Amino acid sequence: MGESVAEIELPDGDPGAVRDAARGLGAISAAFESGGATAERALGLVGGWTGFASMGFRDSCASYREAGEAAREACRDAAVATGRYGDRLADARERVRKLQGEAEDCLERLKAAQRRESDAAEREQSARTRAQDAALRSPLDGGLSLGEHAGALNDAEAAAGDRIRAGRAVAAEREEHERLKGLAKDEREDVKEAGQEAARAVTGAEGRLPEVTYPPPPAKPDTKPADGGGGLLNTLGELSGINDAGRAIKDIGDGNILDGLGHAAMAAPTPFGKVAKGGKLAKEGVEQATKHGDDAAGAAGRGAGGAPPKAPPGAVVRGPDGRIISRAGDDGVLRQVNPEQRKEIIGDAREELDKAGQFVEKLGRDARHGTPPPPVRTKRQTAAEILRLLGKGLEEAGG
Amino acid sequence: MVDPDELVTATYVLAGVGVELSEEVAGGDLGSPALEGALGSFAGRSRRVSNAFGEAVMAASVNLDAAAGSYLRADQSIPPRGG
Repeated sequence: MGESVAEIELPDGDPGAVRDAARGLGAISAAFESGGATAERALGLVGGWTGFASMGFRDSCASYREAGEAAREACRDAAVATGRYGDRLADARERVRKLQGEAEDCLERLKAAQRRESDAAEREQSARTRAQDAALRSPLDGGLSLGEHAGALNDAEAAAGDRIRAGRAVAAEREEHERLKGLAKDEREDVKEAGQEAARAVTGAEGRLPEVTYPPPPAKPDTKPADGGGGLLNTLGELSGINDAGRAIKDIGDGNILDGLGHAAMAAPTPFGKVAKGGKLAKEGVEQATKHGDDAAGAAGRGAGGAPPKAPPGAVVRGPDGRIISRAGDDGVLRQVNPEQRKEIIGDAREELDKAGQFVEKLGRDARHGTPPPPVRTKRQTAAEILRLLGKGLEEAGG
Repeated sequence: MVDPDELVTATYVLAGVGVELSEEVAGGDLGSPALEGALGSFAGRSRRVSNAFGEAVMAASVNLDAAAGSYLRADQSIPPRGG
Protein backbone atom coordinates (compact mmCIF):
# COMPACT_ATOMS: atom_id res chain seq x y z
CA MET A 1 0.00 0.00 0.00
CA GLY A 2 1.43 3.40 -0.99
CA GLU A 3 2.05 6.20 1.46
CA SER A 4 -1.25 7.93 2.26
CA VAL A 5 -1.60 11.65 2.87
CA ALA A 6 -4.92 13.52 3.11
CA GLU A 7 -6.73 10.30 2.19
CA ILE A 8 -4.72 10.04 -1.05
CA GLU A 9 -2.34 7.14 -1.62
CA LEU A 10 0.81 7.33 -3.64
CA PRO A 11 1.05 4.82 -6.49
CA ASP A 12 2.78 1.66 -5.27
CA GLY A 13 6.34 0.97 -6.28
CA ASP A 14 9.85 2.35 -5.97
CA PRO A 15 10.91 4.10 -9.19
CA GLY A 16 14.54 3.59 -8.15
CA ALA A 17 14.02 -0.18 -8.02
CA VAL A 18 12.32 -0.09 -11.42
CA ARG A 19 15.19 1.91 -12.91
CA ASP A 20 17.69 -0.47 -11.32
CA ALA A 21 15.84 -3.32 -13.01
CA ALA A 22 15.99 -1.50 -16.34
CA ARG A 23 19.70 -0.78 -15.87
CA GLY A 24 20.27 -4.43 -14.95
CA LEU A 25 18.55 -5.55 -18.12
CA GLY A 26 20.70 -3.13 -20.08
CA ALA A 27 23.85 -4.60 -18.55
CA ILE A 28 22.64 -8.12 -19.30
CA SER A 29 21.96 -7.04 -22.85
CA ALA A 30 25.60 -6.04 -23.25
CA ALA A 31 26.78 -9.27 -21.57
CA PHE A 32 24.78 -11.35 -24.03
CA GLU A 33 26.27 -9.46 -26.93
CA SER A 34 29.84 -10.10 -25.84
CA GLY A 35 29.07 -13.62 -24.58
CA GLY A 36 27.43 -14.56 -27.85
CA ALA A 37 30.32 -13.26 -29.92
CA THR A 38 32.87 -15.05 -27.74
CA ALA A 39 30.94 -18.31 -27.85
CA GLU A 40 30.64 -18.05 -31.60
CA ARG A 41 34.35 -17.51 -32.14
CA ALA A 42 35.44 -20.04 -29.52
CA LEU A 43 33.20 -22.78 -30.85
CA GLY A 44 34.34 -21.98 -34.36
CA LEU A 45 37.89 -22.74 -33.24
CA VAL A 46 37.07 -26.06 -31.59
CA GLY A 47 34.59 -27.13 -34.21
CA GLY A 48 34.16 -30.60 -32.78
CA TRP A 49 32.18 -29.42 -29.80
CA THR A 50 29.17 -31.52 -29.11
CA GLY A 51 29.34 -31.15 -25.32
CA PHE A 52 26.24 -30.48 -23.35
CA ALA A 53 24.81 -29.85 -26.71
CA SER A 54 21.43 -29.91 -28.31
CA MET A 55 20.58 -26.65 -26.72
CA GLY A 56 18.01 -25.64 -29.23
CA PHE A 57 19.89 -22.47 -30.06
CA ARG A 58 20.46 -23.67 -33.54
CA ASP A 59 16.81 -24.54 -33.98
CA SER A 60 15.85 -20.92 -33.82
CA CYS A 61 19.15 -19.18 -34.49
CA ALA A 62 21.65 -19.75 -37.22
CA SER A 63 24.60 -19.13 -34.92
CA TYR A 64 25.59 -18.30 -31.39
CA ARG A 65 26.35 -14.79 -32.51
CA GLU A 66 22.78 -14.47 -33.77
CA ALA A 67 21.51 -16.04 -30.56
CA GLY A 68 23.55 -13.52 -28.59
CA GLU A 69 22.18 -10.73 -30.74
CA ALA A 70 18.60 -11.97 -30.22
CA ALA A 71 19.14 -12.15 -26.46
CA ARG A 72 20.72 -8.70 -26.49
CA GLU A 73 17.76 -7.22 -28.35
CA ALA A 74 15.23 -8.99 -26.14
CA CYS A 75 16.95 -7.66 -23.02
CA ARG A 76 17.20 -4.21 -24.54
CA ASP A 77 13.48 -4.22 -25.38
CA ALA A 78 12.64 -5.38 -21.87
CA ALA A 79 14.94 -2.70 -20.47
CA VAL A 80 13.27 0.00 -22.57
CA ALA A 81 9.76 -1.10 -21.54
CA THR A 82 10.76 -1.31 -17.89
CA GLY A 83 12.55 2.01 -18.01
CA ARG A 84 9.54 3.67 -19.62
CA TYR A 85 7.34 2.31 -16.86
CA GLY A 86 9.87 3.53 -14.28
CA ASP A 87 9.64 7.06 -15.72
CA ARG A 88 5.85 6.87 -15.78
CA LEU A 89 5.79 5.66 -12.16
CA ALA A 90 8.15 8.42 -11.05
CA ASP A 91 6.08 11.10 -12.83
CA ALA A 92 2.84 9.73 -11.42
CA ARG A 93 4.21 9.64 -7.90
CA GLU A 94 5.40 13.22 -8.28
CA ARG A 95 2.01 14.34 -9.54
CA VAL A 96 0.20 12.45 -6.80
CA ARG A 97 2.50 14.03 -4.21
CA LYS A 98 1.41 17.43 -5.52
CA LEU A 99 -2.21 16.31 -5.31
CA GLN A 100 -1.54 15.15 -1.76
CA GLY A 101 -0.20 18.64 -0.98
CA GLU A 102 -3.24 20.28 -2.54
CA ALA A 103 -5.50 17.86 -0.68
CA GLU A 104 -3.80 18.71 2.59
CA ASP A 105 -4.46 22.41 1.96
CA CYS A 106 -7.99 21.53 0.92
CA LEU A 107 -8.60 19.61 4.14
CA GLU A 108 -7.22 22.56 6.13
CA ARG A 109 -9.65 24.89 4.38
CA LEU A 110 -12.42 22.36 4.94
CA LYS A 111 -11.69 22.21 8.66
CA ALA A 112 -11.61 26.02 8.85
CA ALA A 113 -14.95 26.24 7.03
CA GLN A 114 -16.38 23.62 9.35
CA ARG A 115 -15.18 25.63 12.35
CA ARG A 116 -16.74 28.78 10.89
CA GLU A 117 -19.96 26.90 10.27
CA SER A 118 -20.02 25.54 13.79
CA ASP A 119 -19.18 28.95 15.27
CA ALA A 120 -21.91 30.67 13.20
CA ALA A 121 -24.42 28.03 14.27
CA GLU A 122 -23.55 28.68 17.91
CA ARG A 123 -23.86 32.43 17.45
CA GLU A 124 -27.18 32.00 15.71
CA GLN A 125 -28.49 29.79 18.48
CA SER A 126 -27.30 32.22 21.13
CA ALA A 127 -28.90 35.19 19.36
CA ARG A 128 -32.20 33.37 18.97
CA THR A 129 -32.16 32.50 22.68
CA ARG A 130 -31.52 36.14 23.52
CA ALA A 131 -34.34 37.20 21.22
CA GLN A 132 -36.69 34.73 22.89
CA ASP A 133 -35.71 35.93 26.38
CA ALA A 134 -36.25 39.56 25.36
CA ALA A 135 -39.64 38.70 23.90
CA LEU A 136 -40.64 37.03 27.18
CA ARG A 137 -39.46 39.97 29.25
CA SER A 138 -41.14 42.58 27.07
CA PRO A 139 -44.71 42.44 28.62
CA LEU A 140 -43.17 42.74 32.08
CA ASP A 141 -40.97 45.79 31.36
CA GLY A 142 -43.51 47.69 29.29
CA GLY A 143 -41.88 46.94 25.95
CA LEU A 144 -38.40 48.07 26.93
CA SER A 145 -36.97 44.71 25.83
CA LEU A 146 -38.40 44.98 22.30
CA GLY A 147 -35.28 46.78 21.08
CA GLU A 148 -33.07 44.06 22.51
CA HIS A 149 -35.34 41.47 20.88
CA ALA A 150 -34.96 43.11 17.48
CA GLY A 151 -31.16 43.36 17.86
CA ALA A 152 -30.90 39.71 18.85
CA LEU A 153 -32.97 38.71 15.82
CA ASN A 154 -30.64 40.69 13.57
CA ASP A 155 -27.63 38.97 15.13
CA ALA A 156 -29.32 35.60 14.59
CA GLU A 157 -29.95 36.41 10.92
CA ALA A 158 -26.36 37.50 10.42
CA ALA A 159 -25.06 34.36 12.11
CA ALA A 160 -27.39 32.25 9.98
CA GLY A 161 -25.93 33.93 6.88
CA ASP A 162 -22.40 33.12 8.08
CA ARG A 163 -23.44 29.55 8.81
CA ILE A 164 -24.90 29.10 5.35
CA ARG A 165 -21.83 30.58 3.65
CA ALA A 166 -19.52 28.42 5.77
CA GLY A 167 -21.65 25.40 4.94
CA ARG A 168 -21.29 26.16 1.24
CA ALA A 169 -17.51 26.44 1.70
CA VAL A 170 -17.51 23.09 3.48
CA ALA A 171 -19.40 21.52 0.58
CA ALA A 172 -17.08 23.13 -1.96
CA GLU A 173 -13.94 21.94 -0.14
CA ARG A 174 -15.37 18.44 0.18
CA GLU A 175 -16.07 18.47 -3.52
CA GLU A 176 -12.54 19.70 -4.21
CA HIS A 177 -11.10 16.99 -2.00
CA GLU A 178 -13.10 14.36 -3.86
CA ARG A 179 -11.88 15.81 -7.15
CA LEU A 180 -8.26 15.61 -6.00
CA LYS A 181 -8.81 12.06 -4.79
CA GLY A 182 -10.30 11.23 -8.18
CA LEU A 183 -7.29 12.68 -10.01
CA ALA A 184 -4.95 10.65 -7.80
CA LYS A 185 -6.98 7.55 -8.43
CA ASP A 186 -6.74 8.17 -12.18
CA GLU A 187 -2.97 8.50 -11.83
CA ARG A 188 -2.76 5.23 -9.90
CA GLU A 189 -4.88 3.48 -12.49
CA ASP A 190 -2.79 4.92 -15.33
CA VAL A 191 0.35 3.67 -13.60
CA LYS A 192 -1.22 0.29 -13.08
CA GLU A 193 -2.04 0.16 -16.77
CA ALA A 194 1.50 1.30 -17.61
CA GLY A 195 2.81 -1.55 -15.45
CA GLN A 196 0.63 -4.02 -17.29
CA GLU A 197 1.72 -2.59 -20.62
CA ALA A 198 5.37 -2.96 -19.56
CA ALA A 199 4.63 -6.50 -18.42
CA ARG A 200 3.18 -7.32 -21.85
CA ALA A 201 6.25 -5.82 -23.52
CA VAL A 202 8.58 -7.85 -21.27
CA THR A 203 6.60 -10.99 -21.97
CA GLY A 204 6.86 -10.24 -25.69
CA ALA A 205 10.61 -9.70 -25.33
CA GLU A 206 10.90 -12.98 -23.45
CA GLY A 207 9.37 -14.66 -26.49
CA ARG A 208 12.25 -13.31 -28.56
CA LEU A 209 14.91 -14.85 -26.32
CA PRO A 210 16.68 -17.79 -27.94
CA GLU A 211 15.16 -21.16 -27.27
CA VAL A 212 17.16 -23.29 -24.91
CA THR A 213 16.16 -26.91 -24.74
CA TYR A 214 18.25 -29.28 -22.73
CA PRO A 215 18.27 -32.93 -23.62
CA PRO A 216 17.56 -35.33 -20.79
CA PRO A 217 20.73 -35.88 -18.77
CA PRO A 218 22.70 -38.98 -19.75
CA ALA A 219 22.67 -41.92 -17.37
CA LYS A 220 25.42 -41.68 -14.78
CA PRO A 221 28.27 -44.09 -15.46
CA ASP A 222 29.07 -46.55 -12.70
CA THR A 223 32.81 -45.96 -12.89
CA LYS A 224 34.85 -42.85 -12.59
CA PRO A 225 36.10 -41.45 -15.92
CA ALA A 226 39.76 -41.89 -16.76
CA ASP A 227 40.53 -38.18 -16.48
CA GLY A 228 39.86 -38.15 -12.79
CA GLY A 229 36.13 -37.67 -13.08
CA GLY A 230 33.89 -34.73 -12.72
CA GLY A 231 32.68 -34.29 -16.28
CA LEU A 232 32.03 -30.90 -17.76
CA LEU A 233 30.88 -29.01 -14.71
CA ASN A 234 33.74 -30.19 -12.51
CA THR A 235 36.19 -29.49 -15.25
CA LEU A 236 35.00 -25.92 -15.12
CA GLY A 237 36.68 -25.60 -11.77
CA GLU A 238 40.02 -25.88 -13.50
CA LEU A 239 39.62 -22.79 -15.58
CA SER A 240 42.78 -21.25 -14.27
CA GLY A 241 44.50 -24.37 -15.52
CA ILE A 242 42.82 -23.76 -18.84
CA ASN A 243 44.23 -20.26 -18.80
CA ASP A 244 47.73 -21.50 -18.33
CA ALA A 245 47.19 -24.39 -20.70
CA GLY A 246 46.06 -21.85 -23.26
CA ARG A 247 49.22 -19.85 -22.73
CA ALA A 248 51.18 -23.07 -23.03
CA ILE A 249 49.61 -23.63 -26.43
CA LYS A 250 50.53 -20.17 -27.52
CA ASP A 251 54.05 -20.30 -26.13
CA ILE A 252 54.79 -23.72 -27.55
CA GLY A 253 53.20 -22.72 -30.83
CA ASP A 254 55.53 -19.73 -30.92
CA GLY A 255 58.49 -22.00 -30.29
CA ASN A 256 58.83 -20.75 -26.72
CA ILE A 257 59.01 -24.22 -25.26
CA LEU A 258 60.31 -23.38 -21.82
CA ASP A 259 57.68 -20.79 -21.08
CA GLY A 260 55.16 -23.17 -22.55
CA LEU A 261 56.28 -25.83 -20.10
CA GLY A 262 56.11 -23.31 -17.32
CA HIS A 263 52.56 -22.40 -18.18
CA ALA A 264 51.73 -26.04 -18.61
CA ALA A 265 52.99 -26.67 -15.11
CA MET A 266 50.83 -23.84 -13.90
CA ALA A 267 47.96 -25.58 -15.61
CA ALA A 268 48.36 -28.52 -13.24
CA PRO A 269 45.26 -29.02 -11.13
CA THR A 270 45.31 -28.58 -7.36
CA PRO A 271 46.65 -32.01 -6.41
CA PHE A 272 49.93 -30.51 -7.64
CA GLY A 273 49.02 -27.44 -5.69
CA LYS A 274 52.57 -26.63 -4.65
CA VAL A 275 53.30 -25.80 -8.25
CA ALA A 276 50.04 -24.02 -8.80
CA LYS A 277 50.25 -22.15 -5.53
CA GLY A 278 51.31 -18.88 -7.14
CA GLY A 279 48.14 -18.83 -9.14
CA LYS A 280 46.05 -19.79 -6.13
CA LEU A 281 44.21 -16.52 -5.86
CA ALA A 282 43.36 -16.34 -9.52
CA LYS A 283 42.35 -20.00 -9.53
CA GLU A 284 40.19 -19.57 -6.46
CA GLY A 285 38.52 -16.57 -8.01
CA VAL A 286 37.69 -18.53 -11.13
CA GLU A 287 36.63 -21.61 -9.22
CA GLN A 288 34.38 -19.56 -7.03
CA ALA A 289 32.91 -17.69 -9.94
CA THR A 290 32.36 -20.88 -11.88
CA LYS A 291 30.86 -22.49 -8.82
CA HIS A 292 28.60 -19.52 -8.68
CA GLY A 293 27.82 -20.15 -12.32
CA ASP A 294 26.92 -23.70 -11.37
CA ASP A 295 24.67 -22.34 -8.67
CA ALA A 296 23.04 -20.08 -11.22
CA ALA A 297 22.66 -23.04 -13.54
CA GLY A 298 21.07 -24.95 -10.72
CA ALA A 299 18.77 -22.07 -10.00
CA ALA A 300 17.79 -21.96 -13.66
CA GLY A 301 17.10 -25.65 -13.55
CA ARG A 302 14.83 -25.11 -10.62
CA GLY A 303 12.99 -22.44 -12.56
CA ALA A 304 12.51 -18.73 -12.11
CA GLY A 305 11.20 -19.18 -8.61
CA GLY A 306 14.52 -20.54 -7.35
CA ALA A 307 16.44 -18.77 -4.60
CA PRO A 308 19.00 -16.21 -5.72
CA PRO A 309 22.32 -17.92 -6.45
CA LYS A 310 25.01 -17.54 -3.81
CA ALA A 311 28.74 -17.64 -4.14
CA PRO A 312 31.43 -18.69 -1.69
CA PRO A 313 32.67 -15.80 0.47
CA GLY A 314 35.28 -13.79 -1.37
CA ALA A 315 34.27 -14.84 -4.89
CA VAL A 316 34.61 -12.08 -7.47
CA VAL A 317 32.85 -11.42 -10.76
CA ARG A 318 34.51 -9.38 -13.49
CA GLY A 319 33.08 -7.34 -16.30
CA PRO A 320 34.04 -7.68 -19.97
CA ASP A 321 36.78 -5.11 -19.48
CA GLY A 322 38.25 -7.14 -16.63
CA ARG A 323 37.04 -4.81 -13.90
CA ILE A 324 35.76 -6.48 -10.77
CA ILE A 325 32.05 -5.90 -10.62
CA SER A 326 30.95 -7.86 -7.61
CA ARG A 327 32.38 -9.65 -4.64
CA ALA A 328 30.65 -12.18 -2.41
CA GLY A 329 30.30 -11.24 1.23
CA ASP A 330 30.32 -13.64 4.17
CA ASP A 331 26.67 -14.38 3.46
CA GLY A 332 27.54 -15.54 -0.06
CA VAL A 333 25.62 -12.71 -1.73
CA LEU A 334 27.51 -11.00 -4.52
CA ARG A 335 27.49 -7.26 -4.20
CA GLN A 336 28.89 -4.51 -6.36
CA VAL A 337 32.26 -3.39 -5.11
CA ASN A 338 33.33 0.20 -4.83
CA PRO A 339 36.53 1.40 -6.49
CA GLU A 340 38.54 1.17 -3.23
CA GLN A 341 37.57 -2.43 -2.62
CA ARG A 342 38.28 -3.20 -6.26
CA LYS A 343 41.82 -1.82 -5.95
CA GLU A 344 42.37 -3.91 -2.84
CA ILE A 345 41.25 -7.11 -4.57
CA ILE A 346 43.31 -6.41 -7.67
CA GLY A 347 46.36 -5.55 -5.54
CA ASP A 348 46.14 -8.83 -3.62
CA ALA A 349 45.72 -10.86 -6.80
CA ARG A 350 48.52 -9.05 -8.61
CA GLU A 351 50.99 -9.74 -5.80
CA GLU A 352 50.21 -13.43 -5.92
CA LEU A 353 50.42 -13.53 -9.69
CA ASP A 354 53.82 -11.82 -9.59
CA LYS A 355 55.02 -14.59 -7.29
CA ALA A 356 53.57 -17.11 -9.71
CA GLY A 357 55.43 -15.51 -12.61
CA GLN A 358 58.73 -15.75 -10.74
CA PHE A 359 58.09 -19.37 -9.94
CA VAL A 360 57.28 -20.21 -13.52
CA GLU A 361 60.45 -18.51 -14.65
CA LYS A 362 62.47 -20.65 -12.26
CA LEU A 363 60.64 -23.75 -13.40
CA GLY A 364 61.41 -22.90 -17.03
CA ARG A 365 65.15 -22.65 -16.23
CA ASP A 366 65.05 -25.96 -14.38
CA ALA A 367 63.29 -27.64 -17.28
CA ARG A 368 66.51 -27.53 -19.30
CA HIS A 369 67.71 -30.55 -17.39
CA GLY A 370 64.65 -32.72 -17.84
CA THR A 371 64.45 -36.10 -19.59
CA PRO A 372 61.55 -37.40 -21.76
CA PRO A 373 58.75 -38.94 -19.71
CA PRO A 374 56.82 -42.08 -20.73
CA PRO A 375 53.54 -41.60 -22.65
CA VAL A 376 50.64 -40.43 -20.52
CA ARG A 377 46.94 -40.27 -21.11
CA THR A 378 45.51 -37.13 -19.54
CA LYS A 379 46.40 -33.54 -18.89
CA ARG A 380 46.52 -34.15 -15.17
CA GLN A 381 48.87 -37.07 -15.63
CA THR A 382 50.84 -35.16 -18.22
CA ALA A 383 51.45 -32.28 -15.87
CA ALA A 384 52.37 -34.63 -13.05
CA GLU A 385 54.81 -36.46 -15.29
CA ILE A 386 56.41 -33.23 -16.36
CA LEU A 387 56.89 -32.16 -12.78
CA ARG A 388 58.28 -35.54 -11.80
CA LEU A 389 60.57 -35.41 -14.76
CA LEU A 390 61.82 -31.94 -13.97
CA GLY A 391 62.59 -32.96 -10.41
CA LYS A 392 64.44 -36.02 -11.62
CA GLY A 393 66.36 -33.99 -14.20
CA LEU A 394 67.39 -31.55 -11.50
CA GLU A 395 68.61 -34.33 -9.28
CA GLU A 396 70.59 -35.85 -12.12
CA ALA A 397 72.09 -32.55 -13.08
CA GLY A 398 72.95 -31.81 -9.49
CA GLY A 399 74.43 -35.29 -8.99
CA MET B 1 41.63 -16.42 -32.30
CA VAL B 2 39.99 -16.51 -28.87
CA ASP B 3 42.34 -15.93 -26.00
CA PRO B 4 41.69 -18.26 -23.07
CA ASP B 5 41.49 -15.17 -20.87
CA GLU B 6 38.63 -14.04 -23.03
CA LEU B 7 36.83 -17.30 -22.40
CA VAL B 8 37.31 -16.94 -18.67
CA THR B 9 36.10 -13.35 -18.83
CA ALA B 10 33.07 -14.45 -20.83
CA THR B 11 32.37 -16.98 -18.10
CA TYR B 12 32.56 -14.28 -15.46
CA VAL B 13 30.31 -12.02 -17.46
CA LEU B 14 27.75 -14.73 -18.05
CA ALA B 15 27.87 -15.72 -14.37
CA GLY B 16 27.38 -12.03 -13.63
CA VAL B 17 24.19 -12.12 -15.68
CA GLY B 18 22.70 -14.48 -13.10
CA VAL B 19 23.70 -12.15 -10.28
CA GLU B 20 22.30 -9.16 -12.09
CA LEU B 21 19.06 -10.94 -12.77
CA SER B 22 18.69 -11.97 -9.15
CA GLU B 23 19.67 -8.72 -7.51
CA GLU B 24 18.61 -6.00 -9.86
CA VAL B 25 15.90 -7.27 -12.12
CA ALA B 26 13.88 -9.62 -9.99
CA GLY B 27 14.28 -7.71 -6.74
CA GLY B 28 12.75 -4.51 -5.37
CA ASP B 29 9.28 -3.09 -5.19
CA LEU B 30 8.25 -2.42 -8.77
CA GLY B 31 4.70 -1.50 -7.87
CA SER B 32 3.19 -3.74 -10.51
CA PRO B 33 2.60 -7.41 -9.73
CA ALA B 34 2.10 -7.97 -13.47
CA LEU B 35 5.52 -6.52 -14.29
CA GLU B 36 7.17 -8.31 -11.38
CA GLY B 37 5.75 -11.58 -12.70
CA ALA B 38 6.83 -10.85 -16.25
CA LEU B 39 10.34 -9.86 -15.19
CA GLY B 40 10.61 -12.93 -12.97
CA SER B 41 9.72 -15.10 -15.92
CA PHE B 42 12.05 -13.15 -18.21
CA ALA B 43 14.84 -13.54 -15.65
CA GLY B 44 14.28 -17.28 -15.54
CA ARG B 45 14.48 -17.60 -19.31
CA SER B 46 17.47 -15.28 -19.50
CA ARG B 47 19.29 -17.33 -16.89
CA ARG B 48 18.73 -20.42 -18.99
CA VAL B 49 20.09 -18.65 -22.05
CA SER B 50 23.10 -17.26 -20.19
CA ASN B 51 23.78 -20.69 -18.70
CA ALA B 52 23.59 -22.20 -22.17
CA PHE B 53 26.07 -19.62 -23.47
CA GLY B 54 28.20 -20.25 -20.41
CA GLU B 55 28.22 -23.95 -21.12
CA ALA B 56 29.11 -23.32 -24.73
CA VAL B 57 32.03 -21.16 -23.63
CA MET B 58 33.01 -23.77 -21.07
CA ALA B 59 32.87 -26.49 -23.67
CA ALA B 60 35.21 -24.49 -25.86
CA SER B 61 37.49 -23.98 -22.87
CA VAL B 62 37.54 -27.67 -22.12
CA ASN B 63 38.44 -28.40 -25.68
CA LEU B 64 41.26 -25.90 -25.51
CA ASP B 65 42.37 -27.63 -22.36
CA ALA B 66 42.35 -30.94 -24.15
CA ALA B 67 44.29 -29.33 -26.94
CA ALA B 68 46.85 -28.17 -24.41
CA GLY B 69 47.16 -31.74 -23.24
CA SER B 70 47.90 -32.94 -26.75
CA TYR B 71 50.58 -30.27 -27.13
CA LEU B 72 52.16 -31.55 -23.95
CA ARG B 73 52.12 -35.08 -25.26
CA ALA B 74 53.65 -33.89 -28.52
CA ASP B 75 56.29 -32.03 -26.61
CA GLN B 76 57.54 -35.26 -25.01
CA SER B 77 59.25 -36.12 -28.27
CA ILE B 78 61.46 -33.07 -28.01
CA PRO B 79 64.81 -34.09 -26.57
CA PRO B 80 65.62 -32.05 -23.48
CA ARG B 81 68.72 -29.97 -23.46
CA GLY B 82 70.38 -31.74 -20.61
CA GLY B 83 73.66 -30.69 -19.19
